[in-house]
Amino acid sequence: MYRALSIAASGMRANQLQIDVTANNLANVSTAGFRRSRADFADLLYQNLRRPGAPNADGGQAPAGMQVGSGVRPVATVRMLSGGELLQTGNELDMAIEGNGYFAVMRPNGELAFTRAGNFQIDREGQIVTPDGYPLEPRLTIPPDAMSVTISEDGTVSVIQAGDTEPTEIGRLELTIFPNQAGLEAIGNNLLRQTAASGEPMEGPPGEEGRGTLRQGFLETSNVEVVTEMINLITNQRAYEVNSKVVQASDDMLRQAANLR
Amino acid sequence: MADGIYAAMSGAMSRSLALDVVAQNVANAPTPGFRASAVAYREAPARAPDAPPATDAEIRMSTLDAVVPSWQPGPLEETGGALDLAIEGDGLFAVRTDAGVRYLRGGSMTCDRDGVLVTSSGHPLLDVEGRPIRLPAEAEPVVGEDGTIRAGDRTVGRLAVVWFESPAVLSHEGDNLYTAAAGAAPIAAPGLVRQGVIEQANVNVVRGMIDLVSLTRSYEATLRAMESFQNIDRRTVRDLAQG
Repeated sequence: MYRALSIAASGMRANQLQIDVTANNLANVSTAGFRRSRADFADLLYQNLRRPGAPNADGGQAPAGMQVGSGVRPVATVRMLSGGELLQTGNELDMAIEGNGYFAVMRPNGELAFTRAGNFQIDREGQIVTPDGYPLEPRLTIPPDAMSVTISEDGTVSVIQAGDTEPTEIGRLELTIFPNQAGLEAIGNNLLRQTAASGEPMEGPPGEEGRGTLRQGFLETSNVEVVTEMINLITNQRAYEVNSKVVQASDDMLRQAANLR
Repeated sequence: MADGIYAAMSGAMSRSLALDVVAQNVANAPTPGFRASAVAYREAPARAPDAPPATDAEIRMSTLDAVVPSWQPGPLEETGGALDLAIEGDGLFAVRTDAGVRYLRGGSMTCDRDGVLVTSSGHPLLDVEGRPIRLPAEAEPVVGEDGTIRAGDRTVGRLAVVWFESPAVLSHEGDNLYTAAAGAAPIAAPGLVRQGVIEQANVNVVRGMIDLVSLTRSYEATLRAMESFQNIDRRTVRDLAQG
């Protein structure tokens, strides 16, 4: 019964974590490029009271074992990598990645971070930066007299400068892919960081070696589906309730045992 | 002294163990591929296995005979994750652990830093020849019904999907893994591999609630029986003293 109490507590903690994850997904439903997460669980170790095939009281072999578990534990929060919808904004520096890959941006501490959110802007030096001012890598500067910016599917950036009729190519954007993109660590601000689990970044031109292509004037919305999240919320709430009933039942049984006269 | 009190006590003890099993089932409702267990009780003589049978009326105990995982399939949930793998029908994926080959029903897989296909706990999945499978970064893997993994126009491996003559040889090991009893040989699995799908636990929460209520009540009944035996003892002592 004491075991049942701690098992039920582990179940309640698991449901709580799943609700926390769901809450974060719902809060980010309109964050550009946001990827929803799902908590992943595994059962805890088992106590073998008897293994299958062990000799039983009558001298024969027990056909089935007898094991009592010790609850559930969270093993990972998995980022669901399915793409969000592409939303047309018409903004010249909004870019959506169709397919695999991330934009690389330079954080103020000199580390690279990676993002799917393509809502870029220009800083006062003409550099393409994120809304937080982190420059896109490789760096690209839009000349001050540029009338319009065109970004092609393969990342080529060209501008039409004042007085010109022909576009001038000023550089090429790159996308980064990873051996295991699920291993990237979310650090807030729509950014992800490389970890030991993600493997080394492989940057290169869009559209090559499995990298996605760019869509100028589009933003990728989050891949959160409100209905799915609401259903998760309801099932977890109910599961939490059932676990609390287990606590009640074991408490009830313990009290009866304590009151034996 | 009335010996029946021990029979009643054995009933209470096996009920409390059964509660642990129900708690484990209900707590693992969110665990992908988890197999709920059922308990079986058994009537057992209250003597050592090698003792001669008692001649007169013998006290029989109630013990928990077995805790058996149910291999009924759980509901399949469409997630769209490229590495969310499930088996429709009977079957298990094989993984390598430090302790040897273990089995699991599926779940959210991932790649490690070298691109090797692993479970969310980091155990590599094995192909039909017992080797880990490495996925290329540049192409999305496509998993066929027979477990064949293709990336682009290349076949990168075929997942081992096994099953056993009798699933009773399988026992829980934690971490969503199952271990087969020594000597049990895997056979070809009838189940089909499904990509982008997660099999939920086969825990029936309603059944869990009913088990809870009936366990609490039958526990209560055994405790009442123990009290009755004590009352008999008490009365006997009192009557004898007054005698």
